[in-house]
Amino acid sequence: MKLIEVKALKKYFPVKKTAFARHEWLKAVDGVDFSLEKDRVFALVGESGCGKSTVARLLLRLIEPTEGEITFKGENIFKLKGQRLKAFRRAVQIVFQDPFASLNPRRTVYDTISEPMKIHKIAKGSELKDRVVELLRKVGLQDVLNRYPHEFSGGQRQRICIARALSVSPEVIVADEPLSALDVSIQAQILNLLMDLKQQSGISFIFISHDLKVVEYFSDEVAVMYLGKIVEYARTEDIFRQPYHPYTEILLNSTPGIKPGTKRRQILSAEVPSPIDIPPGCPFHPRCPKRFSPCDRIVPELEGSGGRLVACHLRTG
Amino acid sequence: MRLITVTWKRFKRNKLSVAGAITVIALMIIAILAPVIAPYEPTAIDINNVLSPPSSEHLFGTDDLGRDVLSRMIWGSRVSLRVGFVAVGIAITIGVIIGSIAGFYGGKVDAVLMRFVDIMLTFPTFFLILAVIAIMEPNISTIMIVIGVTGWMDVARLVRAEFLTLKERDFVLAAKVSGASNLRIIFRHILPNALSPVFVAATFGVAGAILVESGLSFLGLGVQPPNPSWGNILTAGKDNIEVAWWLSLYPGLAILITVLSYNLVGEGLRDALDPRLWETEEES
Repeated sequence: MKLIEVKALKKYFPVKKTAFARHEWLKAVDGVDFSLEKDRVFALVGESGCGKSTVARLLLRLIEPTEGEITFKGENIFKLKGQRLKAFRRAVQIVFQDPFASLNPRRTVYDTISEPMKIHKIAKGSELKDRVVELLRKVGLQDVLNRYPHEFSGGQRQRICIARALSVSPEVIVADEPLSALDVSIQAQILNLLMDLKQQSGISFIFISHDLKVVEYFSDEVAVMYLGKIVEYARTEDIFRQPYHPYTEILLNSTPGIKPGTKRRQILSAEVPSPIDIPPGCPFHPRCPKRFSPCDRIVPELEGSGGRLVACHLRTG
Repeated sequence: MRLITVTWKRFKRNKLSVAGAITVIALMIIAILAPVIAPYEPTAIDINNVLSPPSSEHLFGTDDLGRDVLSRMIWGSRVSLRVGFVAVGIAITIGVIIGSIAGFYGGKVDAVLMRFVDIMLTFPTFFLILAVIAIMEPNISTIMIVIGVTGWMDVARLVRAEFLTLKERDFVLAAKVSGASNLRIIFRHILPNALSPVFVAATFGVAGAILVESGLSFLGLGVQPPNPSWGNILTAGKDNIEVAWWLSLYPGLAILITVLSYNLVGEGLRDALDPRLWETEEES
């Protein structure tokens, strides 16, 4: 069953240049399609600035799209109102990247975790307190109810954020780079926690990351984003066995391996072009080691078969 | 550790601000206890003792009607404090409401409200107050209301700026994702985090309001004799400055010390509440 379906999603932000020039558009998300099946983990991967966090914000309906739609159980989430919107708010939760910014500094752990349950009238009184304690135990924290966020480390704060997301028993959690602000040793702990949750509570995840290694362990399907577009979409094992898109290949090879010097790492040259001024043709062509004649003229379509899609002239032409 | 404790720990470091805070508290106690501690009735006229210099009987001397200056000043401190707090209370209430609405809703609402703020800022406040009071009855409530209604713009701007940054913060978005209503987001999540600069502005505002009230009373547009206020004691001082220096010196000093103390407290609070300095120092 498809829980979430993203169709032709676009989000452009207006950029003012000067008082007299007309608006330019920053194409943060430029026509993205994907779907999330129940009990699955879908990963969205790309460099910073590729639009993946914008997708997260759209998925949570924190911003409105320029075009396209996102459906949750068949309903367009941007048209939801009243009780249906509230039900959606209960069903889909988020864990943010920066655990230092995502907790209100003036509220205790208890306030933070109990709030969603109060809003959705899930529990009250002593039952509410028991639930908060239980949620904290689930994420590996004890005796912290009346403490403030600044008393915790990054990893502990991320656990509190996860407990808050779990408090309403959501069906989907969007995790927007939940590990990248943490130390490597802590990353493993949080990743294990997320994997336990996935197995135990039947929550589906949309996992956003720039780190392919993490994705390999956690996700069932991967979409690689580049400048607001999906350039490759496949099952995780396929993409790791053989990446089709040169960008994916480079991303995979740029992750440091365990043994030094085993493989020559390919490192991406130059910076990501500005999403205000996207290169013509294939957006990746200025940085692509394998570019050839059509790349700077014709935009490659995302196509393929058997659940493997790629947007590259090498594959289609 | 609670945030109040952290703030206090940081506030304590500035000795001048602590001295200011002690003075402010002492002045409040004096104002509250005025009927008990004032040695004479503030309006009791004594024709035999007109303009007598400071003595053991009259510590700060007497005025041109033989009234005890110390008693009048003690009662006058009530006026100053009331005006200071009520006027600032009004200013903050208006400022927080307008600033919150502008900052939270943004767009056209924000543009309209902020242009209104700009318009209000173009009036020279003191002359606006003079004009209003010239038309209306000059009494203490009018003064408080007028000072409040003309002094909220800075607060509105501060609150708006805080709202603009806070509403994009992840914890506010997380509250939205949890289904929190706009009111809940404003009152539980944004406003409590937006108030630090308001406290600081309020402290400076009290000092400003006290000055404005003294000025108005000095010009005869504020508290009307025989009711005492520091400003109208100064008026009497001005008329008799060649013969009775004490009539000008003591109320002048009182205004100076009070305003200075509030400003010192404000400065201390500003440093203590600065969130940029928090994260690094809390661990120690």
